[in-house]
Amino acid sequence: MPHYMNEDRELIRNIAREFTEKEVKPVAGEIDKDDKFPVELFRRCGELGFTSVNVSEEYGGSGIDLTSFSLVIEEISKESATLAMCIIGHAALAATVINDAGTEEQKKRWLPPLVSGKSIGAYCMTEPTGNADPSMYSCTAVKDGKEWVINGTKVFCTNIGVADYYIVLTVTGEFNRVKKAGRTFFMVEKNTPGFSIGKIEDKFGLRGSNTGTIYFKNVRVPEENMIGPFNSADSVAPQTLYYEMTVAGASALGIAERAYEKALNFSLARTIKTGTPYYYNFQLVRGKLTEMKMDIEAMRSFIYDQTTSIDNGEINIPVAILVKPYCYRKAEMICSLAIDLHGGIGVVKEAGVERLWRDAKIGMIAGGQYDYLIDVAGKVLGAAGVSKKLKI
Amino acid sequence: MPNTVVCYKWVIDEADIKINTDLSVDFSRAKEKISDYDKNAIEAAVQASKILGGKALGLTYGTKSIKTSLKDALSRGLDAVFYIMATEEADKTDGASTAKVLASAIQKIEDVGLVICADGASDTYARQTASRIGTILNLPVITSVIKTEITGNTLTAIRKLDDCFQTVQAELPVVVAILPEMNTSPIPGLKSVLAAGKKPVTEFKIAELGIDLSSQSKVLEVKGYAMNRKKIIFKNGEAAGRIKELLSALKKEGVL
Repeated sequence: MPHYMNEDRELIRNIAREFTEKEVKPVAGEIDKDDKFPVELFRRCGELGFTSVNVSEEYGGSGIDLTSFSLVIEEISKESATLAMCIIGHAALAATVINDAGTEEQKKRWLPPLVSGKSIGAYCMTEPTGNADPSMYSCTAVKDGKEWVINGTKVFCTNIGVADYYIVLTVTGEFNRVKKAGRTFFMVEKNTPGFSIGKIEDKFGLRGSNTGTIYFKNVRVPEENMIGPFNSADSVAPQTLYYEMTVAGASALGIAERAYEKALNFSLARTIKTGTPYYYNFQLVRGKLTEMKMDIEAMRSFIYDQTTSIDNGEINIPVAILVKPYCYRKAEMICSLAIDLHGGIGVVKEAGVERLWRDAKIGMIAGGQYDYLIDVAGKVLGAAGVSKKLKI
Repeated sequence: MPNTVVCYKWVIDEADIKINTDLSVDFSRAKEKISDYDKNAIEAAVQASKILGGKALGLTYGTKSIKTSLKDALSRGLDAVFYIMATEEADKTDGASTAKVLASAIQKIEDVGLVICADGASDTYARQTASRIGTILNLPVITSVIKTEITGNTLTAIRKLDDCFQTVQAELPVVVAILPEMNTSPIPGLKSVLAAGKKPVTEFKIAELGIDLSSQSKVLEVKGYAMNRKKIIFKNGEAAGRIKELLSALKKEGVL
């Protein structure tokens, strides 16, 4: 048994695998084709306890840690990276902000409906200026009596339109990277006056995971909707994002594993009269498949080494950031190779390989573009000289 | 309150079994799981126990890897699990000795009103366990069951046969073998998985059961089978004539 597995995690993974085979696989192609958010499947995930991470039973959670949650995401991603992305945006981002920074009252109010999957959460961070330079953010929250008034635009938000609760990162002061000051999280519930959903993007991958624009025009929220202390969002957001970075890597792993499996089975199934595996016996084909497997095992080690580290209370900052870009780059390469190895049928949608590639390609950009994240990690490495560890 | 005992088998996952080109069977990469049909049996036991008011108890017999199955079974709603670990390789024992072990264990469990098995397991589908347990315990056995109703001490079952449905009634205690049509086995939630570790697990030692485990039959060989195509192509003459030839050939093969 690998170092990150134990009896409970093994069982959790098997349950997720059973769910994926029985309930996700039959509709995964339709989700992609129709580009429709899988509400019913999402609710099922809630019933099964897949829609929260580290939320204790007191607030309705199953209490599963990041490693167990990542195993669930890995399994679901083998059939639908879309559903996995919906869950990541909801659980690893939105619900985690409340769980990590919310007051007791906020946790009791918002977590039970979120972790049960009856309500859906969204995390609104990126702005039209991009997410690379927080000093350029312009979605503001200004205090007016006992309320806060939010104005601005957020783009590329996951789960929009279907979400009931939106965690919004706002500018509330002068941004200070060192002091991590100047920004504050607020909860905005759907149907709040002034809140409106804009364009839902027609993406080529992760279709069905609603991604798009939200407008805030004089949106008034009570002061009890402030999550975490004033001006302190940047003390909470990074931890949330490290959760996302590592679990997103698990999604990439699931995609890559399925692409490899399809390519391997295809190469073994093409036989000559004697039944000897034919295509697989080409040295070049076998070599490519073996390299795919090699990369998959490296991804697995990287992801679960980081998740177990985080579960043990330690985030290795530059390394945790690198999980997502590394895994999605490898997944994109593996899926591309899988299409090549399928030959002509590889470009046919029914074969199901091209969808994996489309989803992997999006993953290289969504939640932090590849080069940007490499640069962020590089800056940390350069500044510290050695890896920087954060105790949580 | 009578308890319900469900017997389940820890089997090799058929999805992982590979048939080699020489038709030998490769089990080397196969993982194990609770037989899919037994998941239906477990669900049937959970539902029956709600009516009978007693506990739903799992019972399994196999090699040391069965310990991996215990939490899985418990997460599916069982109140407790009993297991017997084989002193020799369990796959060398036949249906008769397996039934002897299970029946002896059932006798050690208090107040058993209902024993549920799947009609067959997903590895061998020998369909012997329920009948043999019933015979050893001198209990009525109802096989091929797709629906049950329990009123008081009476169990009414609908059996699915080749060409008809048969309704059968028996007084508890009774042994029932169910078909997968009986129910849909639910996927357990993570809360159930994590709670499973707190439920009681009891081991019965083979020596305590005092039974003769010698098998009356043994498996000599397991081989895959290959579909050999005849590769006959009707390519001469008009289409109507070729269709006639095709029909004639199919009739000759007994397909039509």
